[in-house]
Amino acid sequence: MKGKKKGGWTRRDFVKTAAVGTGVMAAGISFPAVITRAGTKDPIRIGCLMDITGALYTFGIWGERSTRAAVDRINAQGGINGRPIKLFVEDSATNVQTALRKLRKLIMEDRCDFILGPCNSGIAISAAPQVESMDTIFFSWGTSAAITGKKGNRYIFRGINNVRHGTIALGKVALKHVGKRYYCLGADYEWGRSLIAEFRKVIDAEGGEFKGEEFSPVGTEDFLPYLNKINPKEVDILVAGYFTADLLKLARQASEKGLIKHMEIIGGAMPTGLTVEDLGPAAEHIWFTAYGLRRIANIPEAYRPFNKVYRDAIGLDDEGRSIKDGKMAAVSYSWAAWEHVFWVKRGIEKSGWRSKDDNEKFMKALEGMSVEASVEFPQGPKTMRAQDHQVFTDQYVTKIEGGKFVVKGVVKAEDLMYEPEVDYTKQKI
Amino acid sequence: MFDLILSQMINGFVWGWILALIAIGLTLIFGQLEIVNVAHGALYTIGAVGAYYCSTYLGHWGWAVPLSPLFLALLGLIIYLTTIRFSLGKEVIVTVIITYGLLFILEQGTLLIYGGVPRMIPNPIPYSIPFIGGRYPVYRIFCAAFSAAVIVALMVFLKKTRYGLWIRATRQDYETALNMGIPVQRVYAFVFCLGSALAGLGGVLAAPISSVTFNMGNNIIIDAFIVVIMAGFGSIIGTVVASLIIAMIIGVSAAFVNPVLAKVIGMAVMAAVLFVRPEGLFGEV
Repeated sequence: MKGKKKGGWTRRDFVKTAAVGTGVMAAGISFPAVITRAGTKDPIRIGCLMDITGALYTFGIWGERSTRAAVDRINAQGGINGRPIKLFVEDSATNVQTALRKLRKLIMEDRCDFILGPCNSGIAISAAPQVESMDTIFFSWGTSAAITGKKGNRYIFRGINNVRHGTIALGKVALKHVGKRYYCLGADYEWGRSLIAEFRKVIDAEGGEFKGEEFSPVGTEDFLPYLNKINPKEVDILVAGYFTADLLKLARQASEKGLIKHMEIIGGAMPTGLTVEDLGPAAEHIWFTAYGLRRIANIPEAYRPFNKVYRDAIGLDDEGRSIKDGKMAAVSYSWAAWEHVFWVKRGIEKSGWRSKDDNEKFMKALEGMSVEASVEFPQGPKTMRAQDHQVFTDQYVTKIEGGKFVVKGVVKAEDLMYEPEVDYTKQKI
Repeated sequence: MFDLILSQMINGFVWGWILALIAIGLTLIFGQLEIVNVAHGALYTIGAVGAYYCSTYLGHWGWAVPLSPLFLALLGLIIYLTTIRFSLGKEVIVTVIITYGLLFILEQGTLLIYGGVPRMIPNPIPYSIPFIGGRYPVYRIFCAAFSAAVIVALMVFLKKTRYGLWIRATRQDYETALNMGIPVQRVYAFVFCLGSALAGLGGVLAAPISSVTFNMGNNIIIDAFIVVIMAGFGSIIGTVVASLIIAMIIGVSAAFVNPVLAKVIGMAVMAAVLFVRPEGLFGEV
């Protein structure tokens, strides 16, 4: 053949072989990635990290149930973009060290794509740098303001109002009915300190007169050493940054000391999981800020059908009690755990997310997203603010009257606005 | 300021008697069996849970005063026969590990049965008396008086009864007691049951003051250990004295600083006592 050297390669042979070889190599290197991104049936792996034991046990149990119920509902309807959700559940034991260890396991061993975190501000803040370094999006329903502030980052989303909203609402509704001289007692951890700090801003803006503050460790048995420092003649409001057991003890001991005759308690958190009877004689002297309502009768009528579906899914009655054992559930918070699953769903559907390579697209999809009240968002309509990934929704103020929780005021989301401390949209991924 | 100091000191004195009752159980068990019972706080918790159930299902907290300690004594017997007696004579660290495991079992068992939601018991004496410009709950005064009465009764028991004699003899010299025909194993079991019952009684008394949670013992056990170390292991009088001193120092300090820092001051006092007397205030060298 003309041009062919006897026994050797021509330049043309070499170029052809090299081109084919390079093409094969390139396909081989990208082959797994192509398979991954094209695997539309691969499950979406979601980690559920909850305080199933420990001080925040009540929140954790109901958070886990809510998450599972939401996942089951989505899977029964065909998954997200045709992909089922595979749920991995771990118990943080209401302990930060344990939570971080479990978080690493969920991300590195279980290869979770998203993490739905607990109602625990300390854990959320500790997890923030970890999830950022491990490129994993994290949803928190802890309510310390800092989670979606300077201690958070673009990987953190929060689907519930925070203490800032709660204290603004208390300021607008409760302060009209009580005096202005206040003393603060709070749990000595992130949430308690955040609540007290936010409330001081609110009441000082209304002309409040600060009389002192103390912080006690979570689990304090005897509050008398703290209460002894309050002069009932000089204080109208006791701001109590406590939840569950500590709130009970404080209310009881303040009542025994006779303080309730002289002042009202402005409590930071709806006493989730507790009954009116648990609170004792102080019950009707406490103002609560509520992120959700335990009694369906108090919920705006338009949202009730959606809320009923949620309650049926996790086994709650109209009063917020477990149908199985009659115990009071953490329903004023746990709806956030249900809704977080649907935030993930909405983000994936809008962005076309397929793997962590699309995390930034997911973030952009959620930033600024508004949702209407629905089965997926039974607590009510809300908007995920772009700059700080903080949801804004209506906030309630409740009080116990005649042995039942009644809603004393609703502050609309647009009246809870505050300037964002950060702008996560500028953070590079 | 004087009013504040006085009210904190008296509150400390009252709380000190309740703490003494709990700590005495601990010191009896160590003094007799040389077991550091880390699960003591869990026994206290079970006593408080018993108080909740008596209050809820039997109609009054008062039923818990005899029933909870009885239940704890029985539970203590089961624990002794199945676990503790096999650790007798072993190194202290071994007993700590064993009782730590017991703590997990008891705490998680309580969580399983009682649940994680804290509950309150109605105050059995819902009155308070005028006290230094404010009011003071009568129930706490009752608790202090009742604790003191139980401790006195315990001391009379140890001094005046045959079983009390056996307990003191066994503690003094195990082998001689055995050779004298004292049923040493039975004495050990009895002491463990007694210590458990005292912890439970402490829980019953504390339940209406605090709230009843499945892990409430975790806080009190640290205070109890501080008292026992400062008193000297095995000394009942020392435990009472140390408990009152520590509780009042913490109480008075809380008038000036945050109560958490006041506890640090209390521990500093303990450290100072141990520096001067390493065996504790009433411990034997």
